[in-house]
Amino acid sequence: MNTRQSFEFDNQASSISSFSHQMLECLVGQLVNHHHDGQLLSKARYIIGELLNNAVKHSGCTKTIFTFTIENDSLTIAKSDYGTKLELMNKAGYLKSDVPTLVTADGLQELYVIKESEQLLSFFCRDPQNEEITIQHLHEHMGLLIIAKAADRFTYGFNAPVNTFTATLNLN
Amino acid sequence: MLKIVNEHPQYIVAKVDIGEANLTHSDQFKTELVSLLNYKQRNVWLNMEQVTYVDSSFLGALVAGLKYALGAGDDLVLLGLQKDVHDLLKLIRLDKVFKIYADEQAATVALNQ
Repeated sequence: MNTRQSFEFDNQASSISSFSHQMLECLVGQLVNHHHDGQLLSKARYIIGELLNNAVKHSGCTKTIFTFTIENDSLTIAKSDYGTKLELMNKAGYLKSDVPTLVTADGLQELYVIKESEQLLSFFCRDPQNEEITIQHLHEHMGLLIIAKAADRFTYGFNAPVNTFTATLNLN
Repeated sequence: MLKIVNEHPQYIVAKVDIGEANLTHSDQFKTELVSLLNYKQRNVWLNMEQVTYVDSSFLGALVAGLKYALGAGDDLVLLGLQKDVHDLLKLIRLDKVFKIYADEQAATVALNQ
């Protein structure tokens, strides 16, 4: 059975914990008839937490819509707002289509972006081939990284004036 | 947020006294951690058994604390991570830079070898 449910978040840091619990409780109910491994809810929690942080810290607006969609053996968590465009999208014109471009690297992780179209970027991570870890160089901002690693697919779309981050988790 | 529960000549054990370690706690936690490292000038072992969830901002504060500790010639050790918290550290490979043990006893055995 396909399901969809939306929630409105007020972009306040003080609301993060209660809002996250509300969404997770709803998600547990929606997934009750779907087969999934034990990691799915943990990964969904990581993703929801980071998307909420992103809303509070970077959206530049007062309202964000979160939507869960379960269909075709996948769970999609989408965050949409009318706020600030992701800065990386301003550089999309310089990115080659369908070619991975390194966004950040710190010895532990490499985060890449791919321009899928003029309105859509996708993110993924690779472990560095030559692992040289210098603690002092480790990044302290890792929200996008966590989502990219937890999700099976993670995209950012800008269809003016709407920003949408979308994380997809395979149920099987 | 950080409560000292045990003091040794080589290290301090401090309990992280929150359940969900998120954006609303990370700045204060980082301030308290750096103050503790400054004040005690020795390794800090963080007992995190009460913490059920961490987000990127709190992990960022932990990384900042680790950098500060190592820069001062000390270390930051994590104890008692719950499964979801430990799994997140493994997911983003921070388990490769933090020393992580089940409890103070396990850390004592491992680090004294």
